[in-house]
Amino acid sequence: MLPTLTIGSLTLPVAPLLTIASFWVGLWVAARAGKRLGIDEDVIFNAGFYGAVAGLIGARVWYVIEYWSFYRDRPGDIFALNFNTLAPLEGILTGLVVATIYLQRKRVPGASLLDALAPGLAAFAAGLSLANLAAGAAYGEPADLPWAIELWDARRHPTQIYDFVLTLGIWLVTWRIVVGSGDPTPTGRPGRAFAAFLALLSAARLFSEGFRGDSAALDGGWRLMQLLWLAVLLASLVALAWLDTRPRNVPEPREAEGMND
Amino acid sequence: MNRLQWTVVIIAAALLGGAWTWLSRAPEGLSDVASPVAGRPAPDFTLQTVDGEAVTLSDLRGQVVVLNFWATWCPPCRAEMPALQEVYDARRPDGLMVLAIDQNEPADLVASFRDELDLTFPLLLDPGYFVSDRYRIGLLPTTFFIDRGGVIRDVVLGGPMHRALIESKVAPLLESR
Repeated sequence: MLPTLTIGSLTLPVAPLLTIASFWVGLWVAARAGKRLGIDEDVIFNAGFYGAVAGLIGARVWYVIEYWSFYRDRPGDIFALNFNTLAPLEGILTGLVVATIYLQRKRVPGASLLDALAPGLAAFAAGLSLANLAAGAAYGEPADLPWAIELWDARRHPTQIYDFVLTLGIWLVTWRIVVGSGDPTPTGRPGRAFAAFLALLSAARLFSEGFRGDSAALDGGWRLMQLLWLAVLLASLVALAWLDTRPRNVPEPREAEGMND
Repeated sequence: MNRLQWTVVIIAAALLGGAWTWLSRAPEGLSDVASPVAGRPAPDFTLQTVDGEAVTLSDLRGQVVVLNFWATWCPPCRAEMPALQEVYDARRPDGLMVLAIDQNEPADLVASFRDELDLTFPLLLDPGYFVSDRYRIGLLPTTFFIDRGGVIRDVVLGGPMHRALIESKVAPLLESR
């Protein structure tokens, strides 16, 4: 656990820095994958940049609106920047809307874009696992194992490291799918890499959540997130099956001949 | 893979996933472990104020507690003290308590700082960093927002916190009974 990093007289919170770094690594990976699928790298970088800026502004604006009664009498506090005065969910939604509008204006095909995002999201998720380790968040149950880590007054399952290793694997698998299916023609199967990413991520989280020491539990000890990940796993497997078994969009021989005339 | 093979895979995933979810159900009391992160009960402690009065965190159940770790040598800590005092004055009748834990400094130094700023909330002394270590404090100031049931609801790393920030954190906690 490394919540802060001290360099000289400067003390930096490590988890937020790792989160920001992971976002940019994920964006870079997505841009590289996009290039393989025939999407301009700059378009993905720009979408990420506009989305990040809009998300930050949106998160701040929503927070101020939510607590306007406190800011009304102190307008100067609106501009007192602090990561603790952001509305994260609203910020993410704002960023996604802005990025989506930009990508639609650039006429980027949706399914291919999702495929390009798959390895990038896996890289981002791997970075977030390290951020959780630094913050001591998403920690495991107490365990008497040789690889247990000391955290919060107990030796525990290193669930953050489980997540990191598993998401690294997902990154590699989804990258292989993108490289192997880098075919922007109509005969390709766009959407496979993203569906595979969802299936693998949900399977990995379903597994690691079982060792978590901070799970939200329902009556009977059922872990809420495990039930949600199981639902995502089954839905993404159905999507993969549909993509794999639907008829390919291959021109009929007669049509193909006609096209050659 | 053909449709039959996919059907087998999906059924196998449902069975295996369901079995693992059942096998790995959370043990009773999993969420009762005290740790200094949001969503967990705040680790308990007893410390003395600069006036020698003992304060125990668990005795404050029923009140919303702002637990602020600070030191006189820390400029952002000093800067946010007036905002903490303003919110404490405004919301004390609603059940707000502010505890400011000074890290390993002599009582007379802390007392003179209190008098200089006319602070009225309890300033606690943490000789030897006993409670700071328990809360894994690596950055000053660090502030925990604890609900009436003794559960940490938010953690603010760094500062200075302005008044609107503090009010926005304590208001939802004061509203819930």
